[in-house]
Amino acid sequence: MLVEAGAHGIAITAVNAPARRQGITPGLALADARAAWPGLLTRASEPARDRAQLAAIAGWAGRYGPLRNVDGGDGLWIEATGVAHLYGGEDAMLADLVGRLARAGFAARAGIADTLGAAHALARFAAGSAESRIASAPAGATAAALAGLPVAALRLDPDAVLLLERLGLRRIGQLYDLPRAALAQRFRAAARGRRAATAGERLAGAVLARLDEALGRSAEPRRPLAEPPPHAVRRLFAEPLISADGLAAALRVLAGELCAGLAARAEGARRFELALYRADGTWAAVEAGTSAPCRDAAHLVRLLGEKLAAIDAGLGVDALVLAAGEVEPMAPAEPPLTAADRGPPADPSALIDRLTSRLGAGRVLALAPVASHLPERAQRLVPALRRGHPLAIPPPAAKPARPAFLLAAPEPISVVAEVPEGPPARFTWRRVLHRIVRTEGPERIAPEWWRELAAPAPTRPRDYYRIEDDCGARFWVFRDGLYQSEAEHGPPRWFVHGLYG
Amino acid sequence: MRTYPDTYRDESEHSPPDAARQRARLAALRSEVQAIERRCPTPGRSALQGEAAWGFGAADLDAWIGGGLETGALHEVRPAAASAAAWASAEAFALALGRRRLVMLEGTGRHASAPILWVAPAVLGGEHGLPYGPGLAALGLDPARLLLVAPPRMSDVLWAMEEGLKSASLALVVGLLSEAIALTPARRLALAAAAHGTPCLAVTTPRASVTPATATRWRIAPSPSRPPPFDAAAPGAALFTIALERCRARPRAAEMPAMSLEWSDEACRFRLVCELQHRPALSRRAARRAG
Repeated sequence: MLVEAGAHGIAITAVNAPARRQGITPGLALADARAAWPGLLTRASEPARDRAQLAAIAGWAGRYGPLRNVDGGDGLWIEATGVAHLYGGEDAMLADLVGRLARAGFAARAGIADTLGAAHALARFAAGSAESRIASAPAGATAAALAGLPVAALRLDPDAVLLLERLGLRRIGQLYDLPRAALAQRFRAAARGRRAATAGERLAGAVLARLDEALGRSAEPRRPLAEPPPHAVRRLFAEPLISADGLAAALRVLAGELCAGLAARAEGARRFELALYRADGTWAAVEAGTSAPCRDAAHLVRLLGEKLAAIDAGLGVDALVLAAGEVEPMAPAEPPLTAADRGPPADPSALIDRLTSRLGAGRVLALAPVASHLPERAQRLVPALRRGHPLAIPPPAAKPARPAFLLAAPEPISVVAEVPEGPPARFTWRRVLHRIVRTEGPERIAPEWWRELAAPAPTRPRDYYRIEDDCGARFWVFRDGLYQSEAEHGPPRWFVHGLYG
Repeated sequence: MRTYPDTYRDESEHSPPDAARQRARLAALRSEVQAIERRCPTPGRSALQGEAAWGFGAADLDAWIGGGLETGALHEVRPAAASAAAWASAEAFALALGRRRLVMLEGTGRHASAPILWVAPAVLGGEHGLPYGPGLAALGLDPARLLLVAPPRMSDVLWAMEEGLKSASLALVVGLLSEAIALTPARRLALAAAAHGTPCLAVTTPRASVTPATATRWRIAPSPSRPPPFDAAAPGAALFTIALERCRARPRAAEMPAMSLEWSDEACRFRLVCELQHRPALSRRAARRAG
């Protein structure tokens, strides 16, 4: 059994079946248990590892539905609306779940009902008998199913359970017909201790709230593990898929179904995720994004298919879920009227998607202007997938003309120039000497003073020159710093920043 | 149904002694059809029919190469030397041709906003710099019309170029290559360009061997520019020394000597520069003394 050090000494937190048959229950102090039964085997409990394991199981449980999360310290809740038909009924689905968990080494009890509270009660207090580890309440008959369960099944505080037992209310069915105000009054009367009245009212309110949640009269908000995607289609396979062809064929079917659903709602999606659940309890996911809302099944299959080939099927994939996120309204496309308009549209979005999917979003770029007078900050390379609509009017060209090609970082050059402000006469770059024939400049570009306030080292103003050498090559060079301030900031240095055509 | 002129129909009923003349006429017809097929893009396949020719804007040069560059073919541009300046010159030539292509597409409707794909491997981008938006605006090119792709490997560069050609939604595909293209990839690019009516420019390093299966091959070198009218000491508009090394449509055109082309970004066209007007560069002191 597992023990944990608590406020009153080491207490037992979990027992196995033989220990339970002997009469040891969780909560007993270890010293007492050892006194009664000397030959006990104990091990320290590790709650952190238990929680991590539970979270992993919650992730795996996504094959049954997108909304799921950990419930308490030892359970899961899964919203399985509309999934049961894939397994042939709710009982069959629960049997499948319990069986898979048993194969993975976990003893589980499952319950299914209309509300979370009722399912919690059924799983913990109705299931678990020797015959079956499953309990289910037929739709609409939640009240009847819960009537015979003890009140502790309603997720109440121990104080509330104690008060209810003192009042003689042991089964949930006894609470159904009780008038609400009467319950609050009886709680106030039965509660002992200071502030009995308010405590009693609070407990009565909690009991009634839990009862309403269990019966479905009030809604219970709950937070899933991951935000569920707006649209998802799922497929289960009786025989796990191992081959790549099988996975590709299944992807085609799923993509067709998802795109048909999107088309019926006149929507397109920009992010797609395919989750594969393997037979051994692990799962993997592939993602793809598009630059424009898409509901073209062939395009989707091409984008995801390339990445699917890199996934290892392991012992076989027996559930596939294809989900669409970032859904936007997309008008239905009109078929072209004349033959001249027919043909592939002049829209490079599909090309951008394919290039990004194979090369990565950081390698397919568009040029976005930035309002800054510093040359290296005046342009930003954004991934083409996320580029917005280009401006209708391009920004005006700066005067004097900027180079067509900018080096990634200014490269230092050694220059022979007139001091203090003359243009260069000769410079050496990458071990080649260039003799300057024509120059235009200087153009002074001062640093952005609003950034200088927080900068560790002051940036110096630059004097830019457009120069041409005797071969006709044109460069954009600058002198970083002024000769006048040589004493405080050091000697000015020359760099080449860009090349003209 | 093609209709032949009456002369052919009459003589086809003649006796066998005219068979030799018929064979000669058939051979002449075949060579004429081949010449027509080489010059025009495949009818029905190109989505951009009925447009103006993609030329330089200099009437003499356009006439010399047969009306303009083929829009459904692979063209090669090689810098004259392997220096950064020559590469920049060749890349700017490619950009200027791209600008001419955008001008040509402006009035055609569906393709009026098609972008230019610029594929440069990461190695070359680091050496010679990437296209710079404000500088492109000085060349007359809208930076929003450029799509940059920087794949890590050469095989990815060729794949990206082919994907761009096959999508048929681009105005031009420009690829910078630091290695030679083999015969098979070059033919795939040429076939993709012809099938989808999108031109492809390959800028290859002069150290590598020439690319086969190209329609034209140009060698570009920078050239000292003419001073602008308002400032005698300043560099002027971009000037290229170009040499046509191969022209598939007009094989005689490759005998053209090297000539100087100046790009004008206001007029968006090239201008042939005559030797007489091109004054040698003055030294800076002489220019300052002249005022």
